Amino acid sequence: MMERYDIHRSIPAILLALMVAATIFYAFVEVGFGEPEVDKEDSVSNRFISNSTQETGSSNFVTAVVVNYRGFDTLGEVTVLFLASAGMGAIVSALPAGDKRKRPIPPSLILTAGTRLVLPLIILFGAYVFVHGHLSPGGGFQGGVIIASGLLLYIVIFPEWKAPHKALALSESLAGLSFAGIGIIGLAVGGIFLDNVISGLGEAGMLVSAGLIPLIYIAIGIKVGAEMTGLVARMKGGDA
Amino acid sequence: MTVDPVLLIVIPLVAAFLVPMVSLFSRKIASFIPLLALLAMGGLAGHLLLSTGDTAVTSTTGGFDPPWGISLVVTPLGALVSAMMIFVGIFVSLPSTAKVGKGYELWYNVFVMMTVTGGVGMVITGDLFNLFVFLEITAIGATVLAVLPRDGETKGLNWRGAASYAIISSVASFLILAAIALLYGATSTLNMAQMAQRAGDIPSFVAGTAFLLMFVGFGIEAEIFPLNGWAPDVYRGSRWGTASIFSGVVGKAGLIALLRIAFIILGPAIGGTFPADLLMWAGLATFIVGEAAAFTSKDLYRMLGFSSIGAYGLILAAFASGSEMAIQAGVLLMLGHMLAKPILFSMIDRAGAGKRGDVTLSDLEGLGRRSTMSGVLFVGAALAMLGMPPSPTFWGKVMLFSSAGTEGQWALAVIVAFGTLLEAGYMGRLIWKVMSPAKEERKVELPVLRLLPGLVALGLIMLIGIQPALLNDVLDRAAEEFMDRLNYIDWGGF
Repeated sequence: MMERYDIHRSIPAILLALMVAATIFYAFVEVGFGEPEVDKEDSVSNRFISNSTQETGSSNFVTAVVVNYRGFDTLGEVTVLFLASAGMGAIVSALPAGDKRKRPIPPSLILTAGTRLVLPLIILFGAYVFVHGHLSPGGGFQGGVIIASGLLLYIVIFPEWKAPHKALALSESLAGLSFAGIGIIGLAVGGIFLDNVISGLGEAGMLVSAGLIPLIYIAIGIKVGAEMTGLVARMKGGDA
Repeated sequence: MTVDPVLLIVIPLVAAFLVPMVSLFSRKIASFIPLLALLAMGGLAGHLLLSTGDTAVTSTTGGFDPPWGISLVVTPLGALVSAMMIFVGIFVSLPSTAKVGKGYELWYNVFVMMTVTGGVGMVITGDLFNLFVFLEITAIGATVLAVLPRDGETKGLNWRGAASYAIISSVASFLILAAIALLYGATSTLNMAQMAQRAGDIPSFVAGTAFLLMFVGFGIEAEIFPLNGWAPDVYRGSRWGTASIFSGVVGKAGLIALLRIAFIILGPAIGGTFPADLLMWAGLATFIVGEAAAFTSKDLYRMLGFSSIGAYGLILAAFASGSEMAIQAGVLLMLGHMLAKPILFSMIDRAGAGKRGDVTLSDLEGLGRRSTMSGVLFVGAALAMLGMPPSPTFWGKVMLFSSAGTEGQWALAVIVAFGTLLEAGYMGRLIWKVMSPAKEERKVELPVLRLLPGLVALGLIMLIGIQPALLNDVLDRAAEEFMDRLNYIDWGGF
């Protein structure tokens, strides 16, 4: 028989957790997070804020940091997502087969027709978000997730739909290789990985600007979209 | 000319991204990609090891000098440890390359390669947030490795071990991230060398909190007592390769990160000997608890897992005890462990092949008679683990004792001697069983792809054991890295 949960026994643990939380909180207060005078004059954030458009050509300085200054981190984060998605696939393929669920209740006409209508718009919006990542809020990760959310809707409404895993794998591969490839162009031309060798191209604020940044964000958008879609489709199961 | 160390990361990433595409055409060809990438990385790491010389090889990314862009700082120690991690990766991948049975077999090697890449990244990066990104790569790769079943056991997914690791390592990541945020807030930089230069600006309360958060976070990854409760479950239920990766790559990366943060970055910001004392005593406690638990374990994977925990503790204690000789001893102990442990795990897997559940002492019975080479490899590696000459562990322990004597750290010497006795107890039992006559005549298969890396590892153990002077330069630089913070700051370009 299960023992009854007794809150009194958790009190020491709760007190300890509160003490740890208070310590961390006090340390953040001590640092003075968010106070303007905290930043040193030569801090990285000040330089990013004041020089990024000039140095990278991107009018969105968050994008400049994510894709250019700290692009190497972003390549790593893309890899993290890739590993999560591939790991999910590997684990699903190691599971014993079987477990056929019963057929769900078929969705109504409004849902099916509505989904067919909105899906292209959602994908278009996702593409818009990642193509304009260097100009407006958002970028590759956000755009990719928007696209995947559209396909999630489609999977929910049409459970019989088999996700095109081959096409997803191909776009995942090609997009990842494009990101790494763009980095290698920098290494080959300027001797520096992920160097934005054509940052001067175009005028800041225009669609064609910021050099390689939009290209990287398009690759990330496609990659994230394909990976998240594959992840969702595999969780539904049955066709992994 | 030195090749850009960023390739050490880029090569495996390209390889990983290639796998989904290539596997659409031929799974057989795709299964060779991780091994080829690891071999290329191995060559590169060897090249870097030879070209680090008196200083570090650095590289910038994104086209901006540090601290604006992310830089890599490959110190001689970093190059050596990277090379060893890649060696463990090759050791593990070789036998499972070209096996394309179930869907996950192909991916197993990809995850081995990526976990190694994460570990290498953690050791060579010069940027604290970049280190966190590589920690994530390592942790996700290791989680997937931990869950995948042993050969022939499709139902044996190690949910228990993998779930414990996944949950606790995400807690670790959170604590580390909070500490990075604190340090960034206090120094306005993420570059490790610059952060070290500005350590004086960090208020001591902030530095102390950040250090404790880092200690718990990386201590979890490095299996430091009492933060290692997850580790036995992972070792007990996973493949030999996964166990080798956990004991040779995941924790080693966490250990080096923790040591750099404690002694190079924070150093004077905390003041006193508190960090060094805490790390040394935690290390010694880990060593004793690990060896004692190994002594009483029945399942051999679990036993060797605890023995790895013990080794982590000993290495941490050596680095933290602070003398030049002890740090060099720590590097040698690390080397010896990384070379010998995969052999032991690999041979245990041979002895327990086709068996469900735990592999116990009786499975080892007569291993040496059933397959001579398996016996040779096992006994060789077990003796090397213990510190029998010629092995790096022998020199490591000798130097650690001698340093403890010079520095008057008698507690250290006594605890290390006692732990070594425990170690001799269970290793001796294993060796005895391997050499004893076989009751059953079941042949133990030892494919050449298993034998070859084992022989190479044993050869390296003996080479370093006989000729430790080969490593003199690297050992000196490793001691310089930790003895004088200014060296790392200088190597990092500040």
